[in-house]
Amino acid sequence: MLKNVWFKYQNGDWVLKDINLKLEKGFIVLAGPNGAGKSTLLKLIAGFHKPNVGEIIINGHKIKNIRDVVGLVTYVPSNPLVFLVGPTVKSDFIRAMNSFSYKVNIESLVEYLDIKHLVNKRIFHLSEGETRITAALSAYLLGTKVLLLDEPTVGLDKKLREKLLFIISEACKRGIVIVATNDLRLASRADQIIFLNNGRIEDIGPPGKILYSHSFIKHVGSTDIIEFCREVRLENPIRCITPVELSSVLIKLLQGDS
Amino acid sequence: MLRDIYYAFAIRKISSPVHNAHPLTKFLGLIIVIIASSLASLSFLLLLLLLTIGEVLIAKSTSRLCRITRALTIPTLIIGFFSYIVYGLIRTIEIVLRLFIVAFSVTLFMSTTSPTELAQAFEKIGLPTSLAIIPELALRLIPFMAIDAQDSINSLILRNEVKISKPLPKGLVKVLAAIILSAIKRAEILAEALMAKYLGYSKRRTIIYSFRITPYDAVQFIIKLSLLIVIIFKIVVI
Repeated sequence: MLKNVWFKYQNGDWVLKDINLKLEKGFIVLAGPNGAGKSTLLKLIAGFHKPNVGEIIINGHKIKNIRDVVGLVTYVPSNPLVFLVGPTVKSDFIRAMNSFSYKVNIESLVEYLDIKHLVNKRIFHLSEGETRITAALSAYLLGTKVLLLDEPTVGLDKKLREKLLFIISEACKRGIVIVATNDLRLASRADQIIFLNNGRIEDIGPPGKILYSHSFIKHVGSTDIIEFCREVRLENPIRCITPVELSSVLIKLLQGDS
Repeated sequence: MLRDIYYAFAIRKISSPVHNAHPLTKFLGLIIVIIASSLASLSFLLLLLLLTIGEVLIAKSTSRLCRITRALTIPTLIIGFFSYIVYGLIRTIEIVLRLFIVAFSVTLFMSTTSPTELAQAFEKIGLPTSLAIIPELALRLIPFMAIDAQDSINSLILRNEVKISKPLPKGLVKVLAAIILSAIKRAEILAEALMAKYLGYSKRRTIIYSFRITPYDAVQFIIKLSLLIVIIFKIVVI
């Protein structure tokens, strides 16, 4: 929970202004134009900085510094290389699991995600996308209730993006996953989007509400499929609002199940 | 501390005699100051400090000076404390002055010289591209490494790989490994981009900057070189 949070870096302007949030279990996306304060908000939740005004409360504890969130929050920076300790992917996963004694069947997870070819690779030899998926999985294996990911989809192809979504959905079962991104493909799968603009929360709600708002489209943008959904929604008031919902409708139509 | 270093080193393009000076004379001046400060006695160190502060004022970079001073506060206290115990007061003052002179000079150089200018100047005097690129890579990477270091320490504390303890957190080797790994990857990408953009000096390549020796170049170079000669002469004579 964030109560009346104001934050600025030394000798700078306000980066976050009057942030009031009550976050529930699930997948939350922080979206907004560059410089809106997305990454800063993540760092504040991770206890890297202290708000100038207001307070952050996680699990009933007021967060004063990073010590207060060890074992509770995991943060994967936008450069995931600095989060990995390696030397191989496998050893990084094992270290992550041992950090807070989180128990999970890593073999079946690796098999399910089809990343067997990665596990014996050295961190240095991973590609950009592979590094990000490894960092996301390592973060998941830490087992903390709050998982913060900064721009996790940069360099991910469709296959890896689906794997990331699977990791996020698994992490959501035990707590909150907050992702700072402007990737609308990811945002449309969120439970909730927090739209930040100029340091303030401009809108909060499910993708069906936020992705079609004029302000969001103006500042963050849209995709062809979202534009299509918007037009369908405007012309036919059927319950087909998000790309995900649209795809399920289309699948049903193609299967003759409508 | 790392954030302060990042902001102190970040380049600010304004017009001042220091900003408009030839990158090579500034680079040579920096090398001379570093050598001179390592050899100088207390009185010459004070002179070098005044000279450096004077240059900072000419470059209108006092805010950078404040930033780097703030970043140096804790290291200075630690180094000062131990050197006072081992060497006594005068040597401690000398060590601290050396630290500040080098830090101020490097900050002044970094915040007034574009790495691109430096690389192109090196290439123009015939240095091979693979060597000319080194300072540019290093200068461009330092701010990123500072940010990476901060992110790495914080995220690895949350991973329980780095333990918070005083005076220094435990497990910093892991941070170092992560930063080096990241720096190598970044350097690879950056070098390719620089080669594609303008490096590999020839008449057919893009020439971004044109350089000329300004009066400031000559004055600063002569003063610093004279000071170095006097310092060496004094050491040799004594």
